[in-house]
Amino acid sequence: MARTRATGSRSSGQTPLPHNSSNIPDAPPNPPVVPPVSNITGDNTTQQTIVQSRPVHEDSSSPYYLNSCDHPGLTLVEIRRDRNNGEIHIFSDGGRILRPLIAIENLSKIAQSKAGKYTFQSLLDEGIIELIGAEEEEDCRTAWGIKFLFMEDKGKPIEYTHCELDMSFLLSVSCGIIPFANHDHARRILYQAQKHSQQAIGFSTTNPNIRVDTLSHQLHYPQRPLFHTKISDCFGKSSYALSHDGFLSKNECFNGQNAIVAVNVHLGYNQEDSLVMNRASLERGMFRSEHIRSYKGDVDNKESLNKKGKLDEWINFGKKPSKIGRVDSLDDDGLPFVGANLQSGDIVIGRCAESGADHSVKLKHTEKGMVQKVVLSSNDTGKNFAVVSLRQVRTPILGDKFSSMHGQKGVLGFLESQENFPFTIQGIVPDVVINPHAFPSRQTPGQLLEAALGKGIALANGIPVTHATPFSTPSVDAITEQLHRAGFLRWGNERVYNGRTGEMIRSLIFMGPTFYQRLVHMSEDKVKFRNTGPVHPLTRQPVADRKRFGGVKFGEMERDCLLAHGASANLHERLFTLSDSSQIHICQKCQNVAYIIQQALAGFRKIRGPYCRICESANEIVKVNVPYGAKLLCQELFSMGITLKFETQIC
Amino acid sequence: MEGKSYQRFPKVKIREMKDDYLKFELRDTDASMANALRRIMIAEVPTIAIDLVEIEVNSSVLNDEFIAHRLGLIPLTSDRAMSMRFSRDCDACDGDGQCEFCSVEFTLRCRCIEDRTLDVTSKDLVTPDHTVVPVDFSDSAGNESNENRGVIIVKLRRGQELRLRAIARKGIGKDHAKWSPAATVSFMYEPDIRINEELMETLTLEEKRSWVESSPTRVFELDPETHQVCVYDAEAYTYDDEVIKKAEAMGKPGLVDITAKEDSFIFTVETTGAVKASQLVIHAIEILKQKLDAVRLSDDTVEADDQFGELGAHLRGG
Repeated sequence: MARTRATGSRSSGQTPLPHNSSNIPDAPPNPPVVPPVSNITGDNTTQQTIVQSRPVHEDSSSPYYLNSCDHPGLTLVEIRRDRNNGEIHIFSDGGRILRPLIAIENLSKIAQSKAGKYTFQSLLDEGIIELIGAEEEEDCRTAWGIKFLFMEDKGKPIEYTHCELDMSFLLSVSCGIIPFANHDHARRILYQAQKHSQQAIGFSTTNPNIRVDTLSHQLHYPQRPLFHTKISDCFGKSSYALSHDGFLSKNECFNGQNAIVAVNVHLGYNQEDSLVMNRASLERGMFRSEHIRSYKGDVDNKESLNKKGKLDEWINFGKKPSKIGRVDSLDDDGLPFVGANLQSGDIVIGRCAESGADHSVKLKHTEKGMVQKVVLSSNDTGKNFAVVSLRQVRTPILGDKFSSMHGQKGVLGFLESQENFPFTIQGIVPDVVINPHAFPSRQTPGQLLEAALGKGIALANGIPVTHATPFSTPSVDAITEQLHRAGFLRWGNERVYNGRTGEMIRSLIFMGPTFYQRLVHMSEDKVKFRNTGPVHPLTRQPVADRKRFGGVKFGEMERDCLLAHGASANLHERLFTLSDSSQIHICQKCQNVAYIIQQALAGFRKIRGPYCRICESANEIVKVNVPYGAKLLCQELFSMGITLKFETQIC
Repeated sequence: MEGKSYQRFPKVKIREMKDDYLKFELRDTDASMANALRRIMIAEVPTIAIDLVEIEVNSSVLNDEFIAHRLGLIPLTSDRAMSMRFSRDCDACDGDGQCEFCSVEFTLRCRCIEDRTLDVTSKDLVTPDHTVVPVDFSDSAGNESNENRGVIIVKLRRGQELRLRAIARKGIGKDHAKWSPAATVSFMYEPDIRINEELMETLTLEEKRSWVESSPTRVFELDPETHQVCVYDAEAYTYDDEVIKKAEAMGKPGLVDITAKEDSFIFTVETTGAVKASQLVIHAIEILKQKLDAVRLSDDTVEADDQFGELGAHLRGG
């Protein structure tokens, strides 16, 4: 039962790594790093005999070298012996996740080889660093760090086979770039690593000008955080211009900006996880972002239509006065010119048929923007299509969502002018003010440490302590001492003056640069308003959909609230008059619903009106106001053979 | 209350003056006056900044809005701003750059024809009006530094082009931060530090040293010979209370007494280069006067009663 698919096949879609490149590609920071090339060393002693007899590795041009010591290239096959079942498992699939570990066995080679220059590749070639896969990992005994190799257990040294390069390498990419992650509550770290890092707006691609995503966001001025972590240092590319001496360059693609954050209440405008931001900072470009949405419109292929012979139904691009929207910004070919300002309701792509039928693509009432680019292309089946990208530049407005790297999300609650903020002796005003209540229950002291360390880095005399790698973070003493030497209070507090009165504020305010992310949830995309509008065809209640001018649900809790207040008239209006008000007829005699029918009277006369089929009379029928939902329920029950009786009284 | 005057005559003493930096003392007044001055310098002294951009050709990597925003933030020399009109109040024109009273027109034409990237900077902005030009950051010594090339607007690669017309207008920092002439405006209360010499002498040399070093900024000094603690630079004190806490921790409360003088302030003013720092302060005082005049005028007139209702009587001290 060998699970191998390795032998012979060379077409696993993998290319060997070039020598100068690192193991971690310059991938965007969000997705977990999957090295493009999996590789493995097979020099585990128990496996060596099996390995040696394989013919594959003798072909040095084969990508499947089995021992990176013998071959300068890389190995791709992972072999594991399962003693219990007497099996050997061989893996060579592309896309397996491998990670680098120090092989203790070959660690002695470091002393032998020339002191000085090692690159990741040379260490890999010498077998000092191995890439271990998921299966092989099970048989490894891995030390958490170098210091654990020297520890003893009951007087005996522990026999490790491997050693972690850094303790933080057990974390994912999105988790490993969180500073002081080991000081935060695990729940908060998960919020950042799984949710906020995915939603943060950054500069995610290097080719935004040729892409046509349905929706993409880009930050105008992305910044690198002040601190470093071991994992963030690995993002760089050694061949890149900013690298030096074969060391990895520092990563450039973070998705956020360094804001000066003060922990303070600000006139109550930052209650319940909202933030106060400095309007001047925003006007100077902080957290400005652009949002590009693409619209696609395809046209019929002339040849395929010719066969059907309906030429005047042939849909093609073109500008024609349209009844559904403005076409002013379109050129004669039906496509807008680059730079045109399209408002909601305008036509983005003009399409029409010879017969005069209008097939234009119209903007929804929630969408608008400037034309960024127009692409004409065709797909594999020869169908021609056009893509129009609209761009919007947005500055933060009330209700936009932001988050620090410690799962502390909040919405913008107030834009305050620069002169109204408290200012320090150096004239520094905060960009963001968060509420101190965000900390005690959330247990994220990591954010405070980040701010204190960031302040120390930004203002340090001499070489600052910059690393904030999880599990090997600098001590609080190191951070406070650095701040003290820079001329600041040890604990990151500052004496500030009230910006409105000029008086000194009695308490000290904690302030420091913190890395903040702008998240994609923006209030512009979420505003909802309606007076009258479309109703659901079945229930005749207002629809909920924002794109179709839907309303906001007045739910059970809200109903309870009005009931508790005794505001019955208001409740009646909200739930009945403004919702699904309707009328039905009831026969007072038999208490059943009387429907409107057409009855034939004597002498060819016909009369239309409510008539009780059960009593066979049109007398004693009354009209009552009933929600359409109730009427619908009555009919649905009736169709199941259940009849509802209505007791009515004339009042 | 009647007849008694509380008028004071504030004094200004200039400590240090450079083109874009000013440090001065403001004495014999109170925090409200000092803060009013600071607020006006940040938000209400007018400058000139690019406000309207018509883009003819833009094949650069940055989009039109991005470039327009960057243009707006370039500081322009604004010595004329105080005498200019706001384009919304200008009767002579509609603020489209045709009128010399309220607007200045700039043009920018750049095209990269070489193989290396071309930096489009504020120096490429051309205007017929030589009184309103992008601020020149080159130092007076004439050193060829990087800043000498002006503020970078965008970088062009071969074949890319940027052509635009920009109209600069007068405005104030309250409307948009680009019109704020202030880079940093801050003040502090002048500290009054009194060391309790008697108590200080009870400290050992080691204790004195650790007490002096407990202050993050260099406020106190230990004389190496006489081993006496004296004030080195009182104004370096940031009211951080570190030395007071340290004294308490050492069991010597009252070792030093630090109070803030309520009526004297030390101002630090830095400008973006749009106006000189000294001019900024003078303009700010002028605007403050105008504002006070407006209050006084409404105080004198009968309309004040209509304007403020019951408050009108309050304003007159009734």
